[in-house]
Amino acid sequence: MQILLIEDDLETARFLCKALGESGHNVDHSDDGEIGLQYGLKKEYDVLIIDRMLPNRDGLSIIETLRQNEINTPVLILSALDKVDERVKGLKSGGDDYLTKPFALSELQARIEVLMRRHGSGTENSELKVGDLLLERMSQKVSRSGVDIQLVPREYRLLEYLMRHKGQVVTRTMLLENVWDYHFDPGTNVIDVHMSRLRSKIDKDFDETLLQTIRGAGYMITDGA
Amino acid sequence: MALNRLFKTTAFRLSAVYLLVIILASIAVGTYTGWKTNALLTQQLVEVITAEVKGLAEQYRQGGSSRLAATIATRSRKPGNSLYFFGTQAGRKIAGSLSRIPTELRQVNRGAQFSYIWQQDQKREKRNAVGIPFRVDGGLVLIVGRDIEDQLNFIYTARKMFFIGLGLLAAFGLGTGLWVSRNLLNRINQISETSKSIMAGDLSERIPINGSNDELDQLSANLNNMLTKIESLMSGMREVTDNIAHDLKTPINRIRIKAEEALIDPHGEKAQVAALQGTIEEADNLIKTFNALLKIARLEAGADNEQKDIVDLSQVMEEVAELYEPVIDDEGMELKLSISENLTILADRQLISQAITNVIDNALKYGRGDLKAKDHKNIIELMVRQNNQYVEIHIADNGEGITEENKKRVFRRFVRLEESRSKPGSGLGLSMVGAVINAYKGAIRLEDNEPGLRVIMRFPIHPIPQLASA
Repeated sequence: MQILLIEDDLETARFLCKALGESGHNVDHSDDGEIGLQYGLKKEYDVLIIDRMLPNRDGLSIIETLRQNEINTPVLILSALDKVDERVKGLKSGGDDYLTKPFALSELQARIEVLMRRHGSGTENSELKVGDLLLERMSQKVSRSGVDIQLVPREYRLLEYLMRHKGQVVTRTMLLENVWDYHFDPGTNVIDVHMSRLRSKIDKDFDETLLQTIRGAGYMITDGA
Repeated sequence: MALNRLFKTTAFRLSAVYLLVIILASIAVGTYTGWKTNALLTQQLVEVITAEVKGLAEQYRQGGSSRLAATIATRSRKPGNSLYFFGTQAGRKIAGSLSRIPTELRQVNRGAQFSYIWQQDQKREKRNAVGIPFRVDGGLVLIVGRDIEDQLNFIYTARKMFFIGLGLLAAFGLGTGLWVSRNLLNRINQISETSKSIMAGDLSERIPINGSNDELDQLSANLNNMLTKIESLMSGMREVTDNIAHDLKTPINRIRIKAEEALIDPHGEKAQVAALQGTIEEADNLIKTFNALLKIARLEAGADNEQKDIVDLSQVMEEVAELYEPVIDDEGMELKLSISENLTILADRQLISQAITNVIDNALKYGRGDLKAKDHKNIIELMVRQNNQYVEIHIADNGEGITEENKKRVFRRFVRLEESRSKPGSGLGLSMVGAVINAYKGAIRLEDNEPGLRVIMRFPIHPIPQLASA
């Protein structure tokens, strides 16, 4: 996968280039807003990671210019500006996700994976399937090997989000943001308790465990294949 | 020098201006009254003289010059203010109390003021009078006049009294002005002396209040209140700085220890990985603490910078309850919910949700009561209800509660009542709650839940604007 990183903090950039390179991505890096924009306009990428405060051209202006030129590559905004309205501004300008600094590498990687797949997978399916687990969107029914599983609405939304991103690591922050729309961190490990409830409903009576905890990162639903 | 300052005071200048206006007005009134009185007296004189002349003209018509002369001679002998002269134009007197034609009346043919010599027994004095000359057939002249010396004296005395009065008024007015300004200046001096010593660093100083409850007293009281507020903010700041030094140094030191340990650990890679994971965890906690501090500072800096939308508190509470229900259940506690629907306020959903979760977190951590007590069940109660013009949120537990003296402290940054600090937490949770409450014009109360703590937050209701129904 081709990734463009526009980031003026060289230490962060060096770390990201190394880590993303080790995950098998090709990373181009620019520490200048104007030069970075030229890269983005000329070359085709799978994901763009753009800092907000950059020399010569700020991140939001880069994204707007790219969108005006009909370049719809997913953009992850990386910024130290963490107020809710800054996030809204970032997403309005055309960003697809917003991650505030300082961040955990696992968080960034999980989000990049999600962005890449979203770009690749076209329309949303009416059914989601992971192994023998089936989620029907129209009727909001969930079953495993033909056995109905009763979920409360929030559990359904949690599972739906996980299944939409099957095979990808989903972090606790991503779940809080996307399932609860909370952009803060509730102190206690509320997400873990929700996940263990969900797990007991979908995995308890079956041999194969679909919902896995990824240590230090988050959760992933996968059929193991 | 001091007098110079006194003259420059607003109070003195104001009284000087008032005084000047009053003096000018008095002069105007005095002049007008004097002029009017004089005119009136003159008119009376003219009338008296005219009446007298009419009588004399009658005598003349009846008996000619000789009768006129006789009448004048008779009248001249009577005491009074009337003056007569009857004689030839050359000045030879036939009859009258005046010995000659006054020089002032010689050339004119109309009334004028003149002076004459008044003589009685051995006394002689020069007096003023007014007279009108008339020509009588046969080259004779008749002058009828009245003595006005007493009248002039009266006017002179009145004028003198008037100016003495004005002088007294000016002196008294200026004196009062100076006295008032000196008093005012003294009190303002006290205020500025106090502010000087405050600027020098002594925030405990207060401006004296003399109890008169006038504007200066009120101003002083307000300034004192402001000082109290600043003092408490300052001491809060000092405490925060001390606490930051302590609460941030400790985790940084732990990070350092972990890194050092990893370097010298003989168990190799595995121990190093564990140490590094610990380091990251500590760093993450530090970041969380910093983020919370920043958020609080931003909220305190001004709520106007924060987003404000109409937020359905009932819905917010339902969502939070739904988020926490499994955790509360796992902790072996019971969740009691009572939410009135559709109660909206003006706030930011994220911040309000976070404030509520912070309080619920505390209830989870410290809301455990005495488990040995019979039939004890730990209950966390969440309530949203309307109370007059406010929406009230109750978050109650039946744990140990908070003592009265600690109730104020818990909102300060880094204050943790649990001194051992065995449970995770930054000591910023309730500070953040307090900042959110302030930002959205709310209020918070900590009440005894008998047993336990009942946190009551309230915000002004902000109804959704309704479209006029058809």
